[in-house]
Amino acid sequence: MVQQLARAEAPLDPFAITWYRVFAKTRETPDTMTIRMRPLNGQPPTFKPGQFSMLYAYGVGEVPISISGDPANRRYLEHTVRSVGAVTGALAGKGRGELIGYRGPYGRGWPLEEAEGKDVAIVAGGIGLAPLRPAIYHIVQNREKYGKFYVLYGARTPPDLLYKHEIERWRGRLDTQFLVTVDKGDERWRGYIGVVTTLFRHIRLDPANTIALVCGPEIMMKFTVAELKNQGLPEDQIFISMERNMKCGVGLCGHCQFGPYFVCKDGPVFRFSEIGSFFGRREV
Amino acid sequence: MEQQVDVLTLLRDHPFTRDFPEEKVGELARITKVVRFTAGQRIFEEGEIHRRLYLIVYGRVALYFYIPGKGEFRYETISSGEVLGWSSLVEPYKKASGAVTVENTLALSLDSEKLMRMMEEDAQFGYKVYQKLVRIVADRLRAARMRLIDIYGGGG
Repeated sequence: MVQQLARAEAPLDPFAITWYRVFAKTRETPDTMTIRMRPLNGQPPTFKPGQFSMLYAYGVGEVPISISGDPANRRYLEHTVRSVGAVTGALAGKGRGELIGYRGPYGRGWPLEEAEGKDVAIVAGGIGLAPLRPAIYHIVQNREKYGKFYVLYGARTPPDLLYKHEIERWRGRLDTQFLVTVDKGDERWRGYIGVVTTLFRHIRLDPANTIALVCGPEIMMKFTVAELKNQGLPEDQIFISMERNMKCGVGLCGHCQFGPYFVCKDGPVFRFSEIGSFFGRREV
Repeated sequence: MEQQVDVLTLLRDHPFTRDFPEEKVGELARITKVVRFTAGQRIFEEGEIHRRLYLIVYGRVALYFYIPGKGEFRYETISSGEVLGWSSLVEPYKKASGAVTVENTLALSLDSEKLMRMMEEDAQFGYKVYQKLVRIVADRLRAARMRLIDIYGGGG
């Protein structure tokens, strides 16, 4: 690490770690944090919305985490981490000033260039909003390049919603239809209640001119893709972000094999027509 | 104020009734009134026999169960263009859940007993209404299954 401080930021090989310092942390939900971190040397790398990083908690382990920040921001990287195991727990527990090892960015992101000139429908479930947040930033900042813009977001309960302040801001935009629903409401919740697919009742997509970007647990994506197909969207206009047990991040180890693909290298974002024949299959 | 709103126009416009023949829409208008609810108003309670079918024009209504010691568990919202109260057309006509408005709401309120008489007199019309109701119930069933699975629980 000391040697690295003295050397240029570019890693020598894909497994070399660059050290970043946490400088801010936002508690999104009781178990989910958004961590802002800067490299010890130089600037963070540029990334494409939908790409992921390998984050390393010293002495504990390394996990793939989607980059959740603004791709136009060159000052720091943001990752939203839900504490579900030893490594994510250690990362979520990192405080200001602590170090996190970084490799990346990796993988194929959302097809935002292909979506230019078209309507875009983003569908996110739970923490699946994190890898889609950079795409939302990008579209909002380049609004004139896209047609109608829909975001459908579902979470279990109101306290489980991520990025509440930003959602409030985005929902206030006249050029964006941002619908939020929760599975369980209470007397204080004034929004929609029901699973995320029920939000499709409130929008009408133009099947010939819409690109859909979907991320969430696999079962949520399965139902969402079915709903998109019901609305007439062909499979090659639907993109989903897959999650598998990624280890190397560069398509060498084979841990994240998904049919003929490696999720880390060929994904995590796939056109549904590429994977539809084996998506949701028990053996894959 | 409500009386000034043209029931016929609203029926012709609502997704539930817009594809009915004009003559049926006219008959429906005679058993329909426009109702307005303020936010927080209870429309019916779980277990109640409430023979009205509501076509929501605008606003939002939450369906809920009351859980003793925990309060209301609101599990679904019904919004503009949707239908509230399918159980008023299915025996034993008891409400499967309570309904409370979360926003000011305007709805068309149909007399379910009279509607059922219309359906019995004209089986083809009755079949069409039940077809639409089955779709609504199937949607709710699908949503309930997805909640059972806890579709957001598997993400990492």
